[in-house]
Amino acid sequence: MNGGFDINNRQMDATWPDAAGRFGRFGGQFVPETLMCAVQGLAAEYESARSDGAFWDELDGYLSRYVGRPSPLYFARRLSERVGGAKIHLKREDLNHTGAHKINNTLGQAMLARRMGKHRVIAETGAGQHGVATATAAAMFGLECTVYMGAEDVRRQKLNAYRMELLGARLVPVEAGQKTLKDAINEAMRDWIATVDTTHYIIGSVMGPHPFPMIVRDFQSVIGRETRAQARDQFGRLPDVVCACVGGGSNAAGMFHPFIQDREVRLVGVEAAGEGLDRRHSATISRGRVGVLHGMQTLVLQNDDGQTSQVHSVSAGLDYPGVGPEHAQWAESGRVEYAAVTDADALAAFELLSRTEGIIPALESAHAIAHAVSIAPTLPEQHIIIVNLSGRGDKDCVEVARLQGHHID
Amino acid sequence: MWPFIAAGYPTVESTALLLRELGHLPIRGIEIGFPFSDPIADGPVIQQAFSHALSSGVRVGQVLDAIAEARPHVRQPLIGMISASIVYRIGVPGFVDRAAKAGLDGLIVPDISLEEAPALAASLQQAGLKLAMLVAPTTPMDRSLRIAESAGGFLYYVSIQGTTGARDALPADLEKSVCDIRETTGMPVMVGFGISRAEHV
Repeated sequence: MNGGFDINNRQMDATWPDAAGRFGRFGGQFVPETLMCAVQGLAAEYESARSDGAFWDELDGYLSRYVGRPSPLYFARRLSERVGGAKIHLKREDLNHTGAHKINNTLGQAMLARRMGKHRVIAETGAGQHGVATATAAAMFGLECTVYMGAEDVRRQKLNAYRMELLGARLVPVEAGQKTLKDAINEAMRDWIATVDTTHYIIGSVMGPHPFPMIVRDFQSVIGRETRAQARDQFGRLPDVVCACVGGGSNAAGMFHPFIQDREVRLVGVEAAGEGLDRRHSATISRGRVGVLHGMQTLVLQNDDGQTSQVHSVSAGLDYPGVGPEHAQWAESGRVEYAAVTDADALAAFELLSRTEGIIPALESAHAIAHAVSIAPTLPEQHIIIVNLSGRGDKDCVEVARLQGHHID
Repeated sequence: MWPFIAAGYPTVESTALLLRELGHLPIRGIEIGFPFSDPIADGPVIQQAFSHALSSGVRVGQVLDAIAEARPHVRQPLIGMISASIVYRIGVPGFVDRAAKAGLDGLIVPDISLEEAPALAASLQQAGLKLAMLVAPTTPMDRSLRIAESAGGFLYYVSIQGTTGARDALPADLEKSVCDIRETTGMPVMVGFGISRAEHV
């Protein structure tokens, strides 16, 4: 099996968005007129690429020979024994080239940039995984690359900051606002407004104005399609529960989307509860309300004036006050459940998986592990939980050590 | 000339005062920016003014109060520039009602595209306020025409493909672009973004 796209199957699944780029009442295109030409041009280009078998064949080639897909579906035996109850399996996106699921999307979007004749790409990044994946795709396709990253995230994720520069990207630390992911997105959008003629903005999550939430979901859906086929091979049936962390929501959207029609599969998105839901957190679906941010109508953490709230998570990749519009729609329809895990529980899961399985998870993915660990004992032994292990934790070691009072950098 | 002020900057008390002073000048109208936490169409100067205002606790209600206070003393039109995030949080009809009561003559909502505009346009028209819609150098002429149909009053031509803020030079074909749009749409066109010198006006 490779990462192969079945075009017919993919289009059948794609019930949303509608022609206006809406997922129910979420989504849309809330951008200045200076960007409308670019997003409409992108939508048209993607529409043509989407029905072009050669486009997907080329992408599949990169996914198998450059990224290393398919990623394994691995039974975490010692972890499952330790916590009891349902069996926990891991979809190993951490084994992809560059160490996370982000590369699935950046290669696809770099191919779109090339199709549109754009020689420069830009990106925002939180934990740095999307920035590294964009810089990697840019190096591979010979594109110029600039990455915007909050100055606080540059501090938290020094290793990734260095990797991007090594890959030939220009890294711009953003000093505005809270100096994290949200501020990096603002700055990337400002760059794009001024450079649309030559530049494609590779958004890293299922967010932003239409068509980005759809494009990123489609490129990431390789995760769920592989998982579904692997589950049938390994268990002869679909899993009972599928669990993934949600910041903007790209790894979760890619994992969940191919399972949406399988009503018997329980889908659980896990947000960052930070210091707790009554203190500083970034649990947008649990605590947000309908608003407009970064070109989309979605659930947002904001005050009564529509000003974006300060958010917090120990994980730089989940530290975002909005969420992809399709997640907002899934939450509203009840198809997907959303839970929230605190910094402390995520850090405990980071250690637990390291010690029981020899796998150091990204702090983002550790949130999904923590939730699986909390529900497994409540479920029957024959149940199967699949956790999307969206990235590896090497990048987080310095920050986790610092939080534990050690200094290793 | 339509000067721009960032409401609540440097202090919320200064806004009404500044509007009254500007009203004495030979200007066509005043554009009042409502501070927003994530203004993606704005460059560093306006961003910093907005951040400063928000960190000193300026609320939307206070900006509307300042406008209402200055309104009887300013003859020229007052146009609010405000993010969709604020308008949608308060609710389109509710915000339009408050804007009308404060004495605003119209709104520019830079992140409301033609596609998302109908509800806001209808609400503003009912309240007798104008909606100024953005037209960019990258906007095709047929789209400019459709934007003109949605806008209730005038078009706001973004003179440079970029964010707000000072520029040394404006595009050479700016005057022609503006004339073309004015002629084709038959609507008044206001030019903004990047205007920083007397000879730009």
